[in-house]
Amino acid sequence: MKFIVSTNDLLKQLDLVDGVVVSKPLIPILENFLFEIKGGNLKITTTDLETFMTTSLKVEADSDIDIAVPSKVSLETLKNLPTQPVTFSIDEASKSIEINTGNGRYKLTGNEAKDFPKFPELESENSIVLSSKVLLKAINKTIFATGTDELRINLTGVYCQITDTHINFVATDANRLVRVQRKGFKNGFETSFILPKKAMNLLKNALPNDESPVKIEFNSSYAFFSFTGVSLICRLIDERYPDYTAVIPTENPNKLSINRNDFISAMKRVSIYSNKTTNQVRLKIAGSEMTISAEDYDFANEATERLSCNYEGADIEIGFNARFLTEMLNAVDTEEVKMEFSMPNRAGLLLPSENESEEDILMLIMPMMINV
Amino acid sequence: MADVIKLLPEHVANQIAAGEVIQRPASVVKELLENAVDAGSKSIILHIKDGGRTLIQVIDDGAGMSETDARMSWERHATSKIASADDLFKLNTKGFRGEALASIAAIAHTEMRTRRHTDEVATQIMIEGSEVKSVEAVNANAGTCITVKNLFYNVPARRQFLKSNPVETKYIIDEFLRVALPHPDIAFEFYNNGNDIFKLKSGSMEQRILEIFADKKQDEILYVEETTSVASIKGFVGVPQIAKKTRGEQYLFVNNRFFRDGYLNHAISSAYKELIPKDVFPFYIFFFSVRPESIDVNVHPQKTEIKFEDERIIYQFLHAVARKALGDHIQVPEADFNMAAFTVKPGVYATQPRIDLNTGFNPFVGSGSGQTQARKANSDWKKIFDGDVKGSFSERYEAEQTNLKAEFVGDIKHDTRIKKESPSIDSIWQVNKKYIMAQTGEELYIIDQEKAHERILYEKYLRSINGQQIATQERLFPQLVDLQPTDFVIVHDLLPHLALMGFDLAVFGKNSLIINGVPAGIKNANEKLLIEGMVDDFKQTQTQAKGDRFDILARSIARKTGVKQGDELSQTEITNLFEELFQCENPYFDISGKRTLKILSSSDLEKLFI
Repeated sequence: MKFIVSTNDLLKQLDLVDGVVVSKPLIPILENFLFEIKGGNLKITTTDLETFMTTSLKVEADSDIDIAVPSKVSLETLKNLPTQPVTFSIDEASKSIEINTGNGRYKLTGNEAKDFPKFPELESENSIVLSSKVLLKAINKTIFATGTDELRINLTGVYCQITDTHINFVATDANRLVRVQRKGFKNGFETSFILPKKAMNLLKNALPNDESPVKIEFNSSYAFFSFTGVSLICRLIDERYPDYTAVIPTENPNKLSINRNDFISAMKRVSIYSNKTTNQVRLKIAGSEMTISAEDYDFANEATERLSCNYEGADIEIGFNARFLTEMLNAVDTEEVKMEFSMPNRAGLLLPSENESEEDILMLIMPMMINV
Repeated sequence: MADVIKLLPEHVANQIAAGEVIQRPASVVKELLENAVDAGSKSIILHIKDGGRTLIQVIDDGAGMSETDARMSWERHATSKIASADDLFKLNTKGFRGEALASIAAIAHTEMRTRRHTDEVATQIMIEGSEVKSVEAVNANAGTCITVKNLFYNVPARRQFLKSNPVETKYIIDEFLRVALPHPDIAFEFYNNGNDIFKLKSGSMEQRILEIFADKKQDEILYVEETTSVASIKGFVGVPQIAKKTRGEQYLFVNNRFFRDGYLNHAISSAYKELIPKDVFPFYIFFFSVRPESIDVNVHPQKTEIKFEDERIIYQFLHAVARKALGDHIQVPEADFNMAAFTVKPGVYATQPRIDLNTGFNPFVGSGSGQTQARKANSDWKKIFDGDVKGSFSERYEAEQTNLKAEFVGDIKHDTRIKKESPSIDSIWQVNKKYIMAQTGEELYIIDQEKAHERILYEKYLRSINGQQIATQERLFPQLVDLQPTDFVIVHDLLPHLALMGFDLAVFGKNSLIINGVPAGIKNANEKLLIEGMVDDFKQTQTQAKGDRFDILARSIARKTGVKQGDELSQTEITNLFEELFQCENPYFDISGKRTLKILSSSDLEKLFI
């Protein structure tokens, strides 16, 4: 059989789902795209057994076929072709796939489609609908704060907490925490689950930054995302998420407001002089001035910089990991950023100066102390 | 029935006593050589035959004796060296008991020829088994010559137990060296079956050592000298490279008397701890000079054990001296960068690794000097020890905590380390997720990432006691650790130490701890497992000295949180690791004494392809 498709259209869809494919998987078939053509519709599926992702596009096909196409070779070929229509000729018996372009002919061997793992049937218990833009923002603001510690799997994902009226997206690596809260829902149920980081990254690349709706269905072991022709199913992290609400300090008498860009630039300069293993910087806030300092005894390096700010509260000196703090500052969109402290050994809060309606972003960073 | 208890005849008593003093030919050699030294000789000649069984002869040019003295000298408890019991505590001579000659005479054929420099004729006395056979006036050189033949001729049992001739000869050589080493001003000659083994000229200590240990080079032996009010120490320590798999090249002398001491030996070998593998013994010779009354020599018939008035101070002092000498001289394997700092100029021996030692060295006191400091540490220790016995647990904890705070937390902010020059890297990469290869100029560095990182962390955590406290990364979710009651006591004891190392721990309930924060920079470590593992390590290697606690903890953390083989590292991480390694005091060995790195020079590389 044959089908004809534009390289550009096909490539766009393949790029979306290619992120699922792992190199050197346990079973070799997972290195393939599953192509399923039915009535002129090409459905492409990839999986690593934890995550399944499908997308589809229209093609000019002369008959229906299911075949697994080696992902790396086909993708590389298409990437290096100029935009043009290409013909895929597939011999069903020998599984040979021939890609014909104006000037070239590329032949590769596919695999049996029935060897490809089945897309799990999801019996969803509940579902919610979000706009793509909102979900995208929630992912972007949280994913960087997830943990990488394989001993604490529960922290490697984004915690999704759905209550009757709002949804919380939470990520923490035990040193810092981000909570993105969306309000204004009427869900009628309450649940929570941990979404794995890989799926979040895939969504981040696939979600359009517009108002198109994303439907999220879920049961106790899977979450199912569907939007604009793309579906993604991922296995949830089956762990208990720590009670993060307990660690958010409520009494923060010391409040700071500062220009975010100035703060980031100063942090970037000063942190060059911090100890390479601890990345410690100290913030000393007194009156309307914040002094950022860092030193590295091993190399006898040190740096200080002063910034003006608005500050209410008692003078305070508090240490942070520069990388954590900078990443969090980068995740804020507003021009001014607010920080709130209680004690040098208690968590500091980082907040945007203003939130969009229905949105509440809260970041929290644990200090790094020298406990003299 | 007749009474059965009788006084033994004198020659039997002598034979029995001889068993104590004279165990083998080497004991005879020791006694005779020491007598010769005590007689103020300038030159001593030793002859032996058949491992000392057939002949032991010691010829000196010392004071000599009058005829009466010569006869008296063979009597038991006859000596010129002490006169009253008080003298026992201020011995300046080797011998003092007046037993040696009597013992030797009881079990051998002996002959003595002696002449004082002022006399004209010498006296010759021949004794066999305590029986004087003849006393004659003969012609002889000034000094004394004692000949011991057929040792143990009348004690067959003892003779049976002698080892082979080479082994007995070896014992004799050992004894000879123990006398010859501390007396470089006396010329010694040693002949075995007529062949000369040693011909030692009188001269400096350095010459004497190099003459005796001919296999060692001048720049392989480091010289240290230090004086305090308790003792003055002169020492020669071998660089780690010349440590040997067998014992035997360890010498301790107090007031020029050889002695053995496991405790002080530990002081020195622990100074080598990370520089040499476990089963290898370093070369060292230390000479202590102390007031004679501050030691007791009379604790062992062989006089090879000495009781010091204050052993702990000597221990710390010795450890510090050895440590410093080695620290000043950590040799770079293969490569020769910075080599100039270690080079010894020919002819100028053993002057450069001079140390300026804090004489009251105490590893727990950041700064300070003088004997008072060391004494203070000692009394502190006693106080804590007393607390251990009498005071309640929490009192002791409080006391220790305040001690720690007061003593360890020096002036943190101003304690800036001087940056050491590390080799500049042209290119660096990771191999097999195990090794780091770096090219610097002409050289290729191959670094074992796991060993190197252990070393870096170990030194970092160890520095925390010297005021470079480690920052604590507070954790969002405090972890609760439940411990066995016995383990809890251990951890509770260690809390102040752990705090300095960057742990934020709080006691929670009876046998539980809350981990609020961990040392910054620890990656992917399960805090709970870390604490539990540290307790295990601590239990296994528990010692009471405070310095050792830090050491155990630092080792444990370094092992548990370090980069492992198989960890993939980013470019920044490997560069950091490389640079930090060369900031270490001892970058070349890991914490168990194995190499962390290998340097291949361009000529080494060329050799690979010949």
